[in-house]
Amino acid sequence: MNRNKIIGVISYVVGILIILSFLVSWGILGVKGWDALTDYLGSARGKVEGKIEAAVCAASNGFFAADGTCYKAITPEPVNAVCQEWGKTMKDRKNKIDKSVEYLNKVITVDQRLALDLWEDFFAREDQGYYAQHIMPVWIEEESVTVQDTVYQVFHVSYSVKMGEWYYHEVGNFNGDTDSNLVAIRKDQRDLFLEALKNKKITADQLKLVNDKERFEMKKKFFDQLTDVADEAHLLAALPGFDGLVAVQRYPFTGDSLTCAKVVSTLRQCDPNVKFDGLHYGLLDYGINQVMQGIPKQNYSLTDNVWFAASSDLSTGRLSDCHEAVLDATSGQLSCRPVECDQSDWYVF
Amino acid sequence: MFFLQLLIPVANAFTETSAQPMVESFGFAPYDPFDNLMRLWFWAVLLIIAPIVCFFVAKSQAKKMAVDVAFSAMRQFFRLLVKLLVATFLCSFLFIVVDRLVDFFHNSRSLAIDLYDLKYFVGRFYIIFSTGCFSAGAALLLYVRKNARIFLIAIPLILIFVAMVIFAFINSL
Repeated sequence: MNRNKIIGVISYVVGILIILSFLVSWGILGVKGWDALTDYLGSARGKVEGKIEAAVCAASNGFFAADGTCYKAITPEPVNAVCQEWGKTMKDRKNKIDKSVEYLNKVITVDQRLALDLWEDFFAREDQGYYAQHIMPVWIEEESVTVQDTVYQVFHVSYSVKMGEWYYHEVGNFNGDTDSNLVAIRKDQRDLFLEALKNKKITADQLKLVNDKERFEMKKKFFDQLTDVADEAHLLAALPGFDGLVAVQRYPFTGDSLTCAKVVSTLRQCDPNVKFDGLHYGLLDYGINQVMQGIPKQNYSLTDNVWFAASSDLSTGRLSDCHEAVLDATSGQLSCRPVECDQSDWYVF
Repeated sequence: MFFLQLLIPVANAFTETSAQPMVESFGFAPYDPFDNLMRLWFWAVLLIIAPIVCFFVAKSQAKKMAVDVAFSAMRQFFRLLVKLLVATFLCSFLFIVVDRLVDFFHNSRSLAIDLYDLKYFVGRFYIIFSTGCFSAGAALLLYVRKNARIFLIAIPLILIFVAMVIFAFINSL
């Protein structure tokens, strides 16, 4: 085969490949376009079907929501039925907490036990009745944190609470709002400190609660790295003879006398169709408010920014005139404001 | 109008801005389906109309060259180049006319062309011209078997497209 022929064959193949590349790009364009067109035609058909469904729904005294569901008016469940369900949830939580405690006792290391004991004793010493009645440590974890070029070993403590008939799992944890439950020690003093704990050279009785000035100094030092511990911690103490601290953030709710029936019937005064979905709180504000206002520790409110919320919507059987009810756990006041019944409407353009 | 309504979702499928408002230099502008329709129209000219026209323009010239053993490669190249320039200019003109008319009727913009428009149209023309050349190059390559010298004309045409791709790539960095 001479040279010209070889060039001819190669050129032919390349030419065909270029033509094929055009054909492929047209194919992609065509497929994409066809898909879009069939989707569009499908949604147009869907709109017509939607109109028929809406008419059928309206004829049966229902409300056809933007999400395509036909909602009917429902008579609210009796309070005791709601609370029975709530009781089951609480029972599940209690089981979960019990299992967590069991697991913690199984896997906790000697060092973690020493740190946890100090944290527990400190908390119990300051709030005797409260700690014994409500607090259940469920986890402890150690991590290194660098604060202004100094490395600290931090034992984060996570706890669950029991308040009357309410259980909350891991409310004091290190990922969420209540993350200021910890024992921190400078890394190079860690072993010495744990040794001192082991030999009872340091006990919770020796810990001295910080005053406002010391708290402010700690805030300057640990801000950022220990997630504003000085703002949030209810109980805060420096470690005597060591560079470190113990912090306790109390769960801001004492619901001992609040029963489910009481809460639900109060919320229903706003709207009988509201759906009770539990307790809500704004913990961060709680701590900051206390520190900023310089309120002494014994006056710390335990119910600040804690509320029970419930709202009615199509799914709770309310087809019009829906409300959001909020019961303030501090003042016991109930607020009631109108809201949109069709929540799905917000997401449909 | 019905046809346009059918085309809008097709146009949207080719752009990222289908469901969101477009961000323009002066802030947020409401989403306009006609913007995507115009993009689709450009794609049609760029990838379908101009390449097909240029393919057949080049093919008819290659047929003649294939039987002419002693043609001047330089002369034939420039002749073809002028034909391709005219053909792609007409395609670009078609694109521009539709684009301007939509702007005029739909966006109530003036038909006057300012410097910004001119730069936009020249840019569009160059891109359309390069895909036209690529397609013409492919047409010529099919005739190299009959006359190897056609290769000398096909290569620069394909290189015009390659240059455009490299330029676009550098520009996107």
